[in-house]
Amino acid sequence: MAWLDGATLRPSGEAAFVIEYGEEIDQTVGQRVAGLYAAISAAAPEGFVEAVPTFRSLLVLFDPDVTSKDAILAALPEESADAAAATTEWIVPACFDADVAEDLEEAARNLDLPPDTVRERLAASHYQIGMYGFAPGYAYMSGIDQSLTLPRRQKPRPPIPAGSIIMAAGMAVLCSVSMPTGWYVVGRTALTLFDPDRDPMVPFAVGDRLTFEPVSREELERLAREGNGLRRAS
Amino acid sequence: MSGARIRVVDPNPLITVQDAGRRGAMRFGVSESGPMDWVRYRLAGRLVEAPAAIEVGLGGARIAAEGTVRVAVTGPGFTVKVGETTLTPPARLTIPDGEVMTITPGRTGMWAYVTVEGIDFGPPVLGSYATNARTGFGRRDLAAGFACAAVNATAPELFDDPYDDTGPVAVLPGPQQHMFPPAIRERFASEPFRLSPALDRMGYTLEGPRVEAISHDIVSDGIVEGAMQVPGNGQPIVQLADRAPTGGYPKICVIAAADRPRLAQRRPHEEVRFRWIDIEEAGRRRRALMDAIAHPAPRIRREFDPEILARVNLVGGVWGHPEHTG
Repeated sequence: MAWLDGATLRPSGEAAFVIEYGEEIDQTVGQRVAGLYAAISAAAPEGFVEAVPTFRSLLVLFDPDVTSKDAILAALPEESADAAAATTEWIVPACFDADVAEDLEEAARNLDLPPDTVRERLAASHYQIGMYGFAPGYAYMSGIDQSLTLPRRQKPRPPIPAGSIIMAAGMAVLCSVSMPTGWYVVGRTALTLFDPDRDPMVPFAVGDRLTFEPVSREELERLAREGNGLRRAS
Repeated sequence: MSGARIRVVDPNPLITVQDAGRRGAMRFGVSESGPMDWVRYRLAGRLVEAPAAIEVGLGGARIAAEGTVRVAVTGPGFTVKVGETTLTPPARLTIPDGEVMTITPGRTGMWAYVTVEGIDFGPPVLGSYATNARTGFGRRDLAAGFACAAVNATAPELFDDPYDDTGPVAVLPGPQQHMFPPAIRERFASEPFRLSPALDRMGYTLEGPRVEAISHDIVSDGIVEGAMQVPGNGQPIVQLADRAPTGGYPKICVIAAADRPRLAQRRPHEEVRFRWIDIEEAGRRRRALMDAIAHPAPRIRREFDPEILARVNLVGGVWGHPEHTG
């Protein structure tokens, strides 16, 4: 199969174009975007600048005085069956106790569910990194149990710590920066999501999948001191 | 003296260090940043070569020199003052040891650029010196200053500004152009907009005819510089240097690279009109500008200068000097 089968090419000015696989969030599409990102970055001719994968598409930036959309597309290899193997599956320790999951009980009330059911569903969901945006390492994820969908809270809360997990309109977000939020803070990890001096600077690539492993508050604090507890799923 | 130093006196938040932009990590949510006006940025770098420029906004700037330093200043409408000398950029000049150069905005223009010979901004962050004003990523201590080269004082040199900031802003189709009906796209290019006061290095908001899309909510995708997002209120937001790399509003168009400074240098409440062009025209306009920047022309005075006139002997000018009259 060719990478462009089923894709729509969209214009984006004179120095970029978009390869779009769909208009909705879909983890199979996310997987394909991740594979396309790897293929285009590896094969692209001189003048390719970078590519930005999102939930459903890949933005490709290039220098129009050096190369062209057609030259970049012509350099793409065939799509291989194991393109999905380019992504990694992770297990992330996370604490859902009330003192670090400050809005979990309010979310449970608004969802008309017991708080422990919300915790169970957060831990049973299979997340996929859909894209980064807003701030460095700020990761938007698909795959949260759709019964946990809520609109924004009435009032934004004061800044929450980096490493927080928030629920946002059918998505989950891993917060890389401390910031105020109008969404629901439902958990915390010991992750440093963005570190420009680390290689890679973020632990997860777009397309990677992860699940949360519930830990106690004490364990979270130990992980924050001694390493984040992140590991690859076997 | 082998080295000199320049520092920004009382820096304001609109003064930042910018290079061509931070590329290669947009996929991890790192904003590109870079200059708001790439033409004046590049011209400053052509007049005095430097790894990055100091970008100055409407708050102006005062830059103090310890040791004589050579600088280039570009930026429409701005004036530059050192001692008793006042200049209009683009200019290449020296700031004498112990003096302060003052950059003041005029009645038009938003951004000026200063490059300094031999300046050392310290280590780059992810391969770039650019500051992200929104997150502070890459920020440097401007008040502490930077080492640079000491030079001998020379007379200022003035250059032609190769750019015209007036006229409509040319645009190319954006990734969600199909979500805007043809009549809306046509109206967008025939009616004037105004820049709202809500503007910064991240983006400029426009006020004008409501630009309606089939839907104003999309699953986010990547955003290039100059992309125009249209939220539900129909008032477009042009995404500029400090934009986030992804966003969830449909993008009707992307400003042509050659026309980005035209928008960026416009002030709040100023009018702006748009016109559609194709990739070929965008390329021609871009290449013509790059040629003009590569060959900066010394400025030839076209206007009458009463100061010079007062200094010349008009009678001698007419009749010539005695030694030439035989």
